[in-house]
Amino acid sequence: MLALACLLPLSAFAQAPLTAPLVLTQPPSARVTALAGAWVAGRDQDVIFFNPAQLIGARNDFAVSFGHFSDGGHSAALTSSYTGGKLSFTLGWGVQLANFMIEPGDVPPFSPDLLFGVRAGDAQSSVAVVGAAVQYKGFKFGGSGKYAADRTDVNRSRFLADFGVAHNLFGGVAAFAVQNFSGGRLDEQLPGAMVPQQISGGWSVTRAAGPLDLAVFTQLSHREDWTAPSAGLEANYSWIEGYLVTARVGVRRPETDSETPLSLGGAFTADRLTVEYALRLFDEGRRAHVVTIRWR
Amino acid sequence: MALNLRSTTIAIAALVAASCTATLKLAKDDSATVLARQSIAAPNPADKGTFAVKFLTYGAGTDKQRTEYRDGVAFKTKTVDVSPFASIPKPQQKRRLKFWGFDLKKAPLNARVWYPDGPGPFPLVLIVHGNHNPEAFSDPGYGYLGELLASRGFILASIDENFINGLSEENDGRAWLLLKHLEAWKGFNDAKDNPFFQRVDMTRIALMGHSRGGEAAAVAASFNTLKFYPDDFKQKFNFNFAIKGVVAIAPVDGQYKPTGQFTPLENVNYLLMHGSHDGDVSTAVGLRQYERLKFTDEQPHFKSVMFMYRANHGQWNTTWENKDNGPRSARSLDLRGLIDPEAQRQFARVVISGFLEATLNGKSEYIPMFRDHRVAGGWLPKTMYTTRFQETGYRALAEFGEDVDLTTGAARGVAIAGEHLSTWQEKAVPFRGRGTDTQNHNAAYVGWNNELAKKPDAPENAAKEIGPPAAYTVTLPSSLAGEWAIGANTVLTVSLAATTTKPGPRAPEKTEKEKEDEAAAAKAKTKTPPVKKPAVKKPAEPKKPKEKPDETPVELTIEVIDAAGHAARLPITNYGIARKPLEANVYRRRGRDTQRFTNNYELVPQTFLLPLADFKQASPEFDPATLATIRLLFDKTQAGTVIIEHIGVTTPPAAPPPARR
Repeated sequence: MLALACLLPLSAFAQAPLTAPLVLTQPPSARVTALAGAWVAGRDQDVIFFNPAQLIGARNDFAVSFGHFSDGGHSAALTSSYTGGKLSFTLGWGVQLANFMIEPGDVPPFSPDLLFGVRAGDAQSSVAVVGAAVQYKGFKFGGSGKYAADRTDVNRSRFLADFGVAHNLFGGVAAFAVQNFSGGRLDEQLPGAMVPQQISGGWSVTRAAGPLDLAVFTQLSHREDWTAPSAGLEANYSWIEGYLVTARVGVRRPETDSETPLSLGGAFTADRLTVEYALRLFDEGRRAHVVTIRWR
Repeated sequence: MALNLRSTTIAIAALVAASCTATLKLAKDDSATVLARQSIAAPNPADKGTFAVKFLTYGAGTDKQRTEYRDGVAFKTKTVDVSPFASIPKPQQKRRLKFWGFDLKKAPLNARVWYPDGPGPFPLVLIVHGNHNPEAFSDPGYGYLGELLASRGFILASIDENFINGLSEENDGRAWLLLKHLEAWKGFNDAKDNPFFQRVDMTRIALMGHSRGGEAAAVAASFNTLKFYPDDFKQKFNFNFAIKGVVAIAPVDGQYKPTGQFTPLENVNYLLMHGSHDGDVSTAVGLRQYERLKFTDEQPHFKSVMFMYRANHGQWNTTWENKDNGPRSARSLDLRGLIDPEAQRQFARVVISGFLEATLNGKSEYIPMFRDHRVAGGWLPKTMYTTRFQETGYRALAEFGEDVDLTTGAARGVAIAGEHLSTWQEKAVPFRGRGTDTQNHNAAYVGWNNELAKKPDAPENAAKEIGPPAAYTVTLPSSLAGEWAIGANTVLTVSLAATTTKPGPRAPEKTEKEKEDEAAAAKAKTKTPPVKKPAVKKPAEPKKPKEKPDETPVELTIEVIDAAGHAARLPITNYGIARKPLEANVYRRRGRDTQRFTNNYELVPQTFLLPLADFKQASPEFDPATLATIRLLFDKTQAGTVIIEHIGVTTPPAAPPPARR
């Protein structure tokens, strides 16, 4: 999958049809950013934005992320989960925001390119999600409800839902999700502001390789007029219990032709604290930096 | 610039790595002196014997994973239904069935057998591994014992119970499988077409087990004498094999509790081996099984603990090695402190072979090394050991758990007294682990300091004054020595452990005049209202540098007195070494041992066996047959605290009746 994504022909970098709210196509944390958003079979509580079924078994961390695109574009996210009760019942929640600047009169859908640059007007894209998952006969099932909005002078919002299922397969986890269900337009008055309703499938696996612990995450997403493969590789090294350094690389079919397919990242864990960093590369030397702090 | 950045990064990384790694701390090794002598004249039991060694495997012949249990079996065995004693959780069932090709209703009886090339009959020894990754097979890991024991005339079968690994609450199943193997062996011995036809001496059997297998071996010995499975009468037992010995290597204890109780065990020889640096069963819980084992049938039995400093959990098995905490053990466990794996296994060769020679072949010349390991100093790898020992004929004088009266002993009429003691209490002997888990028996905690505290008016440079030595005295009722047939062949048995606690100097004894003056002063004080003195701020005392704990072993004298008042004294060091607890840090991460354990040592009292004949030799007037008093005289080490676990006498049965078959 990783190789496949790397070998995508250049023609594949055609721009995806714009969707709204903008935040729904942006990775929430440094880890997800570095792993190219291939998180439908992901393994931490950020899956609340991708596939609530994968909340089962996710570490109950509290994570806060900050992204810097430009003086006019920033993002932030907050996630956590809680496990308790029968059938491995797990509850998760998350909030993600993106602040950026627009020209007066701009309306959704917004291009991710707007995260760069300073303009006259302020805009905010946000999503709040609450989900839950249970495990039954080896299958993980999850559902979540989302409130997503793009806010300029006017607040345009929709209630959406995600459904997911996951099961162990070939030593890893295979997962499928329907994301942003109910679809349609963010605002009936704006014919181009389609919500990115999509289906995603993916597989992830972790393996020991010498002194390293490797994890591979893959995903294939499809929505109207757009199919995007993505994959990420994570290598962890611990020299002593409780301390961990991580390197990450991801590759994906980017949403815009101004973004490169490659993303990079790293992390350092000391006991209950993890600090993560990710770098997204855009054309003309533009970069986005994302930092996540996790507390277990 | 780039170089500077790289150097700085490396330096920071090295600093971070070093700052979170604990410094290697090991107790001062005294093996050069303690193991300097070798007084057993018998050949080293770890030496290869005279038999050529043969090897085969037996089993169901259907194993999906291993040719040696499929096409390679020398002969086939029937499967057994172990499901009444163990169960596989539902989520694991499919995967396990796919891997193994069978479920617990069709469990195979597979084993690797090392055996002597000869007509026999040879004693039979089964060894069973413990819990480990089921797919990293554990049974080949005892080949080093198989090679040795077979060359010395034992049949060793290493039992395959890998298919039961990874389960929980299955230790009764492990034990039952051992007994089913014994049933199979009876069949091999009786079947004309079997290579073991009439080559197995079914009257000389020993069971050995490692980790969970160590508990299973004891449980099997317990099940062996029962008519029913204790937790379900529908499972009838009819084993009754002649199990003469049980060897428990770093065993667990209490993972299976028949009828909710710890497994009782009687009338079988028992050897417990445990390492101080065990990263899996870090608490030596087998000590509880050792304590529970009772000898009630007047047959000659013994039990022994061999606690080995710097030994871990896995190195007893060549498959497990130093991975006590899984494949990534080096991240969590401090492997630097471990003894060389081959040295650990050499120790296993010496003591297991010696134990089996003594218990299955009647070679009693090997028993002394279990009484006092120093007599086998030339055979043992150079590290430190603590040993415990008890045998048939032992009668307890003081065990500290029978009541809450400090002054009474375990036998009727036995009285206990303390003189000049700083501390004296009876409480449970703890394990090193956190929580309330104890060794399930009490001990007396006795502290002393023979230095007299300086009087308030004494000058700063006044000479240190030493008072009479403190003592802990056990007095026997006059009739007891006769009733118990105490005599010259009786051995005084004392188990104790030294601790690092040192009480402060004791208050000097007051003269009668001093006592009267003090009483008068107290009376006057009550009449006169106290005058409030202005508060004077005391100058802050300079901070004392942190003292390194005193690792010097405790020395004391044992005094025995007969009914006529003839006393004899011997230093306890003639019979063993009362070391301070041996510091053992298991984890690599700084502070992790403190988080996970109450103590960074396991309290294993050393047994001292002092023949009364030696006292008689030292003081010919002393008459052992009228033993009246035993005193622990704390006259050598000025201050300290010891935990006294047992005081008793061992008189071997007059004429041992023939061994039970």
